Amino acid sequence: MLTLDAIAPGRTALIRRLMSAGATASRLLDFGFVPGGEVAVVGVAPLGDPITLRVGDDTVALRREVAARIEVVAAEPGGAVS
Amino acid sequence: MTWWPWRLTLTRASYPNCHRPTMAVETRGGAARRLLVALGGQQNAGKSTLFNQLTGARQHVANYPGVTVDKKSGRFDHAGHTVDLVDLPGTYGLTSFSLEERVARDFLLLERPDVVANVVDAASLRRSLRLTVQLRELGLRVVVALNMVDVATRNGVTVDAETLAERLGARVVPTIGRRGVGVGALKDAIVAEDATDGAAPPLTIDYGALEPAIASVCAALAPTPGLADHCPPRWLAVRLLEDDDEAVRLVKTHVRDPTPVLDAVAAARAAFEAAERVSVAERVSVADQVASCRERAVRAIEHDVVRRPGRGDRSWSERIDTVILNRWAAPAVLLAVIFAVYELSIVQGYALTQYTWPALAWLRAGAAELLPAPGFLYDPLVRGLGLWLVDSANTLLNYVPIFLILFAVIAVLEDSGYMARIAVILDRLLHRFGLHGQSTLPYILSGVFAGGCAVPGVMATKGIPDQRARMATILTAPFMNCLAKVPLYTLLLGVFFADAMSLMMFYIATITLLAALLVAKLLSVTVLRGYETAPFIMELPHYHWPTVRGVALRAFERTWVYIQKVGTVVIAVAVVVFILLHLPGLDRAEQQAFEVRATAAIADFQAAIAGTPYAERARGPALVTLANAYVVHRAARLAGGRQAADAVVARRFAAWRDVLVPGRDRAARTVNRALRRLTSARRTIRREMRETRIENSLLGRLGRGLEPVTRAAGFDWKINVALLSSFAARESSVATLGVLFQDGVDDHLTLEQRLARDGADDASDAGNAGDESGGGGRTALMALAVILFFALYPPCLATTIMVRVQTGSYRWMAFSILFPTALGLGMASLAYSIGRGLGIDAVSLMTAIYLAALAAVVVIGIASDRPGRGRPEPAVAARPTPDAAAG
Repeated sequence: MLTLDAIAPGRTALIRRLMSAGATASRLLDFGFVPGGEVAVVGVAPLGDPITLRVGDDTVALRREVAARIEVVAAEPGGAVS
Repeated sequence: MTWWPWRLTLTRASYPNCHRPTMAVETRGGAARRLLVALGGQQNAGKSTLFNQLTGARQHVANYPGVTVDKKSGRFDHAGHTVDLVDLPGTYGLTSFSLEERVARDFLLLERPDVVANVVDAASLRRSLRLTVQLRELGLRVVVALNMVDVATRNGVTVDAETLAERLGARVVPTIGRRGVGVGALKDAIVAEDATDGAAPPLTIDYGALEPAIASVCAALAPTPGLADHCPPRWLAVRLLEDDDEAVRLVKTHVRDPTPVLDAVAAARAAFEAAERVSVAERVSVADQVASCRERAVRAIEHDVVRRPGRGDRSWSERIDTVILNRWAAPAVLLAVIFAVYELSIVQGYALTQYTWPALAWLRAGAAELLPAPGFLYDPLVRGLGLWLVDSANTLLNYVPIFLILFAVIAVLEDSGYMARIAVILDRLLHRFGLHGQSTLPYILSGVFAGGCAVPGVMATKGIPDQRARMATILTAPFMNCLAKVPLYTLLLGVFFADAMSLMMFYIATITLLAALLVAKLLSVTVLRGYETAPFIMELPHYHWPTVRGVALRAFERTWVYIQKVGTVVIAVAVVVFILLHLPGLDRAEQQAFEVRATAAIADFQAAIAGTPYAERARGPALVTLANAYVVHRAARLAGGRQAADAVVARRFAAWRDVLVPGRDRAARTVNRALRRLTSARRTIRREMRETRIENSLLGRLGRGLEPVTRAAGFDWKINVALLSSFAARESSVATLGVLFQDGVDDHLTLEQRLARDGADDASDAGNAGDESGGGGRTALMALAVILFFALYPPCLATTIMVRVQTGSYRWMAFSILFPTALGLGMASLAYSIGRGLGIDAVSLMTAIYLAALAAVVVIGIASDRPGRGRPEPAVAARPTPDAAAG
């Protein structure tokens, strides 16, 4: 199973599933982490955590422990969105 | 719990035609009606402000049935109708995930309010719309309060209210809750919406691949038309497919034979999941499908109605981030920024106070002139208290320039987008100590680099979403070196550590941060363990230039809060401390002894000037005036030079000019000399009186009473009194020390010299003599103990009140006072006894303590790193291959 924390900077992925529930899930939705949506990994913080991502038009920082709970499918930018 | 009148009059459950009945318009609009209106929206969209604007004082709080969620309700009359307004819990949606959302949804389903007033944040519409869309899917009559349009406009965001209304099927009223703009129009819209014949049909969202499943469930529900009274069938179908407990319960209670319906749901869900399995996104759950389709619908609406022309450029932001967040450049940039903040606000701010201080001194001189004149021995109470208050206020106002600059610089960091980057850079480090990336701003405001104020610091914790980290931040931010701690440090360093001043200042400035990290860790694994944590998700705003207006506004706002909060509390406490320092005063025998000495001094003076032409004039009240004039003149000459002093005399004491500024006249010179002796004697008597009074005073007794406890740290009662009074406001510590160490004022010794000298001839302290450095009597070791205690000392009263506000609990407020006191006293005692026992000099001891704290931070920091996570680089690089998708 591929999770978002394993995507290298510069790569894009499709979100398949949010494996968290409750408040975390709704906060993720808030920030645009929607199943089927596209996420690009922009970079990694100097200390290796959190990672920065591009979701839609926004840049969002996410701790790796949260990213590890987001199942993704690797994709190239501009690739098909389910 | 209260039974609401509308519950009795409009018993919805038994009223068969509750889903937007086709009542005649005249019945709904004409007669005076009693409306039930729910106010929904996110917490930070300005919902509570708008609630207050709508209902005014007519509101009260109860609980929602069976749960501890506050139910605030109120009432207002409008256009002949009475509206009962119920404040729903602040939510982002109506899922059954969180308690608040469940409570809100139950209320909407069971009570079916006539209208839902939905507060949305115009500045971040998308986030708000998620709830609005769900309200409209439920088929409720919705009036949207498009709130905070002023903030949106300021950010360059415009919202097309007309299109929004059309897309949602709801009335939209722009409002500015804080200023009450649009509240009347909102009331109009609520009443009009209620009077409209027939509600707009429920909003329909295209659920894509789920649509066939929805259709089949709807078909299964069709034989039970009664269900539509509770909610739209389509809405229920979607919830059932999501396997929502509440929806299943609804079916079980209202459908005579629920089994076929539930079977149909299960079959439809299985069909959907089977169909989706072959597509790219494998095993898509219904809930995921629903969430993503709804999100798409929300984004589509947002796209159509929101215009944001001047949005920062994303590609530029990402380019800047490659430098700012680069592993090598980030620490350098961060250090440079912190240095710049320190240099600009603290160093330059202090420089600026040299220009503002004369204004405050002028204010004090004015007050001294206006208040009743001092007597020979006793001052009128009004004068003593008045000057005490002016002094207390001045010490606070003195910091205003620094705070203005500090808060402006911080506003620049926030508005430019860099503050969010600091949080990202430091999050991993702070997280190991139970803190959060967003703890950075509170720490900076509180004074990470020796200068700040914990009041705005604690206030700035509001935005931290992680409760445990937020509490840890609130309780540790006051450890930072606030501006008011600095004078005592400088004083003690100047006296005892003149040789190692910069090294010691470095230790002090940074050891508090080490202590804060250690304490935060300690608290978060002990008393704070029960608090929930939240994942770190943070938006990184695109970089853009801060506007002068925005920065100035925020700087003034925060400074004003500082003046208000700190000002009022400090003035109130200053009065209390004044009383504690003055009661019960001198006893009769002491009083008489002082009066005898005063009489003797006056007799000496009169003997000396007998025979001069001034002898007759300088008697009784006139003598007191003359003595005061001499003091004022001398002070003016020391402060502003001969000319200024002459001007003061010419203005206020023209009658005594010859004596105060004697020329060649022999008699005048004799009087002047005698006058000097008299005022000197008077000052000695008054000083001794004050000392006796403080020693007698309640605070003095408390200080003495604490001596057995504080002896381990080497504090005598005078230090105790200074530290006690500094709880009111840290500034007081230096002032109180100044009063307590008055010996030598006559010899024009500075407080530094007096502090160092005092105790040399004090037998009790002589025993402590570790005469390694600087001052002879009071040892450097004791100074170190005071510094350590002061660094860990409880927050000042204003801060503890802010702790109360932010934690909502008096127990945490008490904790924030007691814990640091115990910790500080423990550390000070430990340091003092080790230093004395092993004969280590204070600077080496401080170095040892510092290194120990640093080692503890490093060890805990390494040990607390989550194993297997947070590696600098991801272990698995994504490969866009089919087997990755299969994993």
